[in-house]
Amino acid sequence: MVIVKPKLSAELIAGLREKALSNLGYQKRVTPDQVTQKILSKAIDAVHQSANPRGIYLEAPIIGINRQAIITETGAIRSPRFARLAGLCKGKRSLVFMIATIGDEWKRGLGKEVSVLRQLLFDAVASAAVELVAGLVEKQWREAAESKGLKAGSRFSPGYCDWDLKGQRVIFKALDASKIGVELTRHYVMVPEKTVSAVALIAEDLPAAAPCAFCPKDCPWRKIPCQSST
Amino acid sequence: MNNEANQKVLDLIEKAVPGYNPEQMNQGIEQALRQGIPVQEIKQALFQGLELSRKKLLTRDVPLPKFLLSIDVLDQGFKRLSATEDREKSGAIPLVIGVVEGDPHDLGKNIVSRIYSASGYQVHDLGVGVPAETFISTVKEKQAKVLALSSMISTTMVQMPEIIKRVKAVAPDTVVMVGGAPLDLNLAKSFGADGYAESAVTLLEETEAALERASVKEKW
Repeated sequence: MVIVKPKLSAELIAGLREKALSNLGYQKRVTPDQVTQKILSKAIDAVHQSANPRGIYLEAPIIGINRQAIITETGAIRSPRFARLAGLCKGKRSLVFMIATIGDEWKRGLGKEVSVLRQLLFDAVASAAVELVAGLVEKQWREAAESKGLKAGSRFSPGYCDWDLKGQRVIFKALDASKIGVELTRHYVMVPEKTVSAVALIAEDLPAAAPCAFCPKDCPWRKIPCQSST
Repeated sequence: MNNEANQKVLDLIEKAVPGYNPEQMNQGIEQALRQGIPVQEIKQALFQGLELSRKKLLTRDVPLPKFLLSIDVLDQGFKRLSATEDREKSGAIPLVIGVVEGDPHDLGKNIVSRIYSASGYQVHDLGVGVPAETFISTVKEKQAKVLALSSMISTTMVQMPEIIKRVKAVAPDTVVMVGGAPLDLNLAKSFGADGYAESAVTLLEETEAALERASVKEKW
């Protein structure tokens, strides 16, 4: 199990504004009004100063694959599409389990009397920040796999595609999330709120990066262009 | 003062809301009060301004943050007019809102709560992680005409049918609206809800439609 403490450089933080605005539905090159800009700058500063980025990951063997699930030592990943992708991988196959968080400390910057607009903008920045941290944690296991001549697929998370949110249990069984201050509630909610959990395939050869390859639905979370729309 | 001058100042107030211009709104309100325009007409201008902003949100011409700014301006105007009490007395629709038990996500609910409040509903916000019993007792106590339930995760959303059933048992005329990321129209109907809003954008239309259906006993 590897624990990661990624650094959010000023350069990376600078990219949060654009990502947060995109999360909020702003088109590119549209400049928000001054009030929004001001709060957004405060949110970025607060997240930069008080976020506590941490991650944990583990590469684990795949014990078996059937039509419904991928079987691991800590449980089954019940996603027929992800299982299909794993079944088509060539050579030695394994899974990476990962969790990344920015903690809850950034919320202190919100203050006591919080307007909904302020909450919305801080939340958008924090969401962009946790995605950034997840990307940095992913970079580590991806580079480790590639250094061994292996290929790594995209992150796949419970609650997306055909994988039920209850799949969180397998990830939290595989990783000691308490080491990075994360817990899973009985309703499968991750605490702190701004936390990302995922698995990914590692193999000698991958037919596709994500199970989207076997899905005709053009949903907003697609990682591979929809064939019907290309 | 003549009607034309009154209309001019009311237009100024109306435009200040979507334009996010609190100074213009304050000046407009002071001027309107000096001209003897009734408070009710000033409030109407503020509401019309918010409606202009909301229509732009509907057509995606303004993003949500800008709409929330408009609500801030409207609220400042109401504070100046000390209108909250008046609104409660003037028959605003009592509404109870909350996020179901086990779900800590409050942002979506807060936005919805704010929009309801700014649109003249008398909002009783129960916060997040609300047990079924609290929804039921508050609906009864406040004689709520609308109950708005939110859940952002599928594992907590499943409590909704039971909450709706229990609320309907004690308050059959209360209109139940549901919303949240894992929901859709079909799920909302299967849960026994009276209405569903996909986002803050369609919230008011969907709530009004549900209230209208309830008033004529029409099935959804």
